[in-house]
Amino acid sequence: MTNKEKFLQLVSGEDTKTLAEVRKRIKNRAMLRESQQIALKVLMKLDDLGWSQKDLAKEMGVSPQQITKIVSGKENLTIETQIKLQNILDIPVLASYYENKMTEMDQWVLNIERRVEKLAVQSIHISNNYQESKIVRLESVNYSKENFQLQAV
Amino acid sequence: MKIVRTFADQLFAFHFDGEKMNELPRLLTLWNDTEYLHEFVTSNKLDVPQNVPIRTLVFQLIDNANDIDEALNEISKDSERSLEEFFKPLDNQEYHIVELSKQKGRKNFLRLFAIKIDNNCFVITGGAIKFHHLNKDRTHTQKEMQKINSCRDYLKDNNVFDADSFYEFLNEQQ
Repeated sequence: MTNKEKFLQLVSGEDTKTLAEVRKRIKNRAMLRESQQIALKVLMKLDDLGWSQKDLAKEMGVSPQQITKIVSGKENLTIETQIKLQNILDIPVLASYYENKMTEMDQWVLNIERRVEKLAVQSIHISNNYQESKIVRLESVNYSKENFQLQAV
Repeated sequence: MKIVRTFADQLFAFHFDGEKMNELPRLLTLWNDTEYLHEFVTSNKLDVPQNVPIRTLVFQLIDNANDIDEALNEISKDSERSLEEFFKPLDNQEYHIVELSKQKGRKNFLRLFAIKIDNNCFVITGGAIKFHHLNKDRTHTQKEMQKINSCRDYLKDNNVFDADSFYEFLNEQQ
């Protein structure tokens, strides 16, 4: 009997754990890719905000260990966790992020249109009364998004 | 340190003292960990290919790790395939048969380092992420070169020169 044969008789099995993990990753690749994308968005946003994972854990009301799992990109995240991440960090995780942003944007555009319409009416009024008015003072208009949200017509 | 078998009588890996896992699952776990990869890329900015965003690079590394998973899975399932197609000599100038040859299994930026025991028989000693630099130029790759050398010395010290002596050595370990 060769040394190799002796060795093989003694080996009770393969290190199946490693290969099993490899096969599990291959099987779950689509889910893992989504999880990894979320993890990276979270990590990059934390860097931008200067937050630690502990800060995020506190904001989300979960343990720091849970955040470690999230940023490893190996977790099958629940919808609830995804919504929390999306709302707290203002990062796109679910389709609702873009839908909400679009609704917000539509409202913003609508407010601008109304404001412009109002200014046009005012302008006609001013023009009609030009002879009687010696000085016409136009208020400067701030077109920032916040201004329109605050002064929604 | 000890040696464990990963599959069939083809792939083995060193399990170093103080480590929870042997080198193969340890590395595959790291290379699939987004936080580790993000940290690695941001702290090795000098080596990162220019004009490639961090996000792109992290996902390139994950894709490389996926490729290694695929290669190992395919080879383990198909008796017609061999680890010889994955591992190549670490020394690009190695054209003749070298006893306990140092090898690398490469998928773009990722390297698995191993020692070739015999045809289609390899023992993994470690691995590294390697961008555009030489192994001797960075601490993390230098460490891997030291590891492969000490593993080779370890095998030699235990009279492992070919497949038969390697299995004999494993038998003695039982």
